[in-house]
Amino acid sequence: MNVDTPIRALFIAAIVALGCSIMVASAVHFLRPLVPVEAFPARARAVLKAAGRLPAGEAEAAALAAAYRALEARILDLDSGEFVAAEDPWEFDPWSSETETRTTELERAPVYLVRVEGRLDRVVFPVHGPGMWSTIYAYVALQPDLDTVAKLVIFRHGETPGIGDRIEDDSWQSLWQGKKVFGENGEPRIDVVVGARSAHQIDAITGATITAEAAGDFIRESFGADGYGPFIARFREEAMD
Amino acid sequence: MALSERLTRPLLADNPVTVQVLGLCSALAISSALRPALIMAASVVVVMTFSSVSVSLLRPVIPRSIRLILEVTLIASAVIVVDETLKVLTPDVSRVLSVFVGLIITNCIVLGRIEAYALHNPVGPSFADALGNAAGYAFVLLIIATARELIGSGSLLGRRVLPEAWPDNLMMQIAPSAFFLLGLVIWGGHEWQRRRGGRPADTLPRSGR
Repeated sequence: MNVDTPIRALFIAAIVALGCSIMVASAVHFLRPLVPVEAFPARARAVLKAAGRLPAGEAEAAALAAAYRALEARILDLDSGEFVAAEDPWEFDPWSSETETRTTELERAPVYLVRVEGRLDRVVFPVHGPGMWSTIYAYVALQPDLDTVAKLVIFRHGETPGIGDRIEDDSWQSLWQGKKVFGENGEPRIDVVVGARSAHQIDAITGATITAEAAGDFIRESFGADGYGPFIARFREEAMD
Repeated sequence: MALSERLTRPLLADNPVTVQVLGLCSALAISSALRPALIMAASVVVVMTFSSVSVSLLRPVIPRSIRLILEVTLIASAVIVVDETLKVLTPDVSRVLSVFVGLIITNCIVLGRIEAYALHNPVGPSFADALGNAAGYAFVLLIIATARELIGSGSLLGRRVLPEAWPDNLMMQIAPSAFFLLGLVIWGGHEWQRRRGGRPADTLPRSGR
């Protein structure tokens, strides 16, 4: 029997396609509900890590939630640099819609004020922007001077596994600690370069230079006039009064 | 060739990675630690045996004109099922492997064995051939991953085995080291073959990448 007639080919193709689609659809249908859900949202965990308030060890979801709620969350209007009223600022996810590809395109963002014994200890800012071929989402915690980096936490990205994903490494993120975001005239100057020399520069990652430098670029941009610049300027003025 | 030989030849004498030099990219990309490499190896075993067996079963009815697209459809379906299963069973490893599970579809060993063998042979031998070749791939992958994790981080399966004084070796943690190790493995394989009086390596048939 000739198996190569067009009708025959169509028929076999239809059967194989049907069989495969049933297999794939049922795998997704039956397995998806079994995917373990995180008891505590990863985003809030990243905020806690940036805030330096992540409970040590294997903390339970309730302890994490309590620590997260203990931070002071405020919703910021990026243009005016003023806080605006919001229902539940802890639940506000600035990245829920994926239409804004960088911090500067956001209208509002949550910031988290971390207080230790009543005194401001850190302020955590969500930042995001283009990496090499994905949007990178991160949290930057600044010291109360709103200039010195206290902590960088890369939260989510789609960079090359095994290469660009080394921005996740603690060893690289810790290089950010103590770096200064702003130059003398208040312009953001923080940057990722090969061979860091100044207080504004962080060393790039060997093999992941493009991803690391891109992270530096969007983080600098996030603290500019279209990002958190107005808020930080206003905050400094108030601090002087 | 006996069924058992079908199974064992691809382990050493006809290893798809070291002798035919196929399926390299994933062997390089996900071999920095042993655990993801083990999961990857298991995934390739499942995908290869499933697709080879189903192509072998369908072989009397597969029209020559559309055989490649049918084979790829079967491979891709198996890969998606494996990927979904990993997300349930080992979510963290699944995150580490990310795109590389999906890229099993493009692993030339899989399509290569289907085209070269399963398309013309009964189910039993096709199964043995697929299993043997997948095991051959797994064998090389695990050698490289063991060496990289041990030398690179002083641990195995995430557990520290070398004394704390052992310094982390950054080169072993990044992809290029897999090239050096693979080169050593290929060299070792050929040398072993030569001493055994097998075919000299440089007269082996070349099958592309």
